[in-house]
Amino acid sequence: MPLVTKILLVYLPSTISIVGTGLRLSASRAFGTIVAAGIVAGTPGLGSQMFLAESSANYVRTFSYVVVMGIVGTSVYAIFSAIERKFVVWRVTV
Amino acid sequence: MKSFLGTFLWRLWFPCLIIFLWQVALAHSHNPFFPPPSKIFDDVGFVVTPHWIGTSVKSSLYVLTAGYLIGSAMGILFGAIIGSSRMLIDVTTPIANFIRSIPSAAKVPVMMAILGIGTATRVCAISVAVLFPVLMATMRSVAATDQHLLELGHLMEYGRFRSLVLIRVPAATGDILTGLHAAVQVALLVMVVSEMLGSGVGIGAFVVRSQNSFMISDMWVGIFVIGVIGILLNEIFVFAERKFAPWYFHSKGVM
Repeated sequence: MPLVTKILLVYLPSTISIVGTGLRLSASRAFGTIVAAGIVAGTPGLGSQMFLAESSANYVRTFSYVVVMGIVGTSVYAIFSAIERKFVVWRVTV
Repeated sequence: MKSFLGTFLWRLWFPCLIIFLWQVALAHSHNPFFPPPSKIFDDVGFVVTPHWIGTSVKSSLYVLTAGYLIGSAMGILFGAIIGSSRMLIDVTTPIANFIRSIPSAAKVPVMMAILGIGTATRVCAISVAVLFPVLMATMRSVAATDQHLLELGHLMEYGRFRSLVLIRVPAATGDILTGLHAAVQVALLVMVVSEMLGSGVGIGAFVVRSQNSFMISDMWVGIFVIGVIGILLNEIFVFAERKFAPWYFHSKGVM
């Protein structure tokens, strides 16, 4: 079997389950980073809006942004778990 | 197994190559925001003074250590308690998943809203951020203890508490160490964010201050120091994992 075929048909498929886990974890991390960038550097988005609310002592709004972030974060995680379950049928994810 | 020095040198050649290429690419650049490494190294002597280490680095490390220790101790404690009861797992999992999904950087403004700006805020934000990865790792591993071990404990007439302390937690050492290892990165991130948000002390505050006053090489030195702290902490954990749970990391094939 030539090396290219071996990579495409053996090596890559055998990594799918671990790559899936990596994608799921990095999606959560990407969301975390964009929120951190918003809080520290003011990039438009949930993070900067939340920090704006905190700086203007609007704590009710601060906490409502936290709840929204929780919902978005959970959804990102759920979407990637679903994709993973669809492609990695032979492995039960916790 | 290669000698320690050999491994160290072997790992070093690639970073050196990257720095060399960076130097070659930017040697004649006049972009003030992306200086070549030589300029940054020239600046190290001016930034990393005993006074700087005594104030910024010490403050950062103090907050990091305190937050990390509090958070991981609480994580292991609660994780062990929750993990040993099916009912507690079912009750707490939705809440824990929700709080875990909130980015850890977002916990800093929340803590600032509750506690104001100060050392307590930074310590609390770090410990809350560290709590969840450690708690989840401990809880899952304690809940999945080998049934044979538990039956053995049952034979020896261990109660709930003794089987938790003597069987479930020791059996989970490997997973707990993995959780603790993963939590270091989170702790560093939250440390830097909390220092950047108006605390005025620590390496994160130094980085932002340098950036705002166009001392770009100073900013890069600060970033490198944060990176070095991260590498050192990582090495400590790799060492601890080999030392305390060799069976676990051997079986995973990561050694």
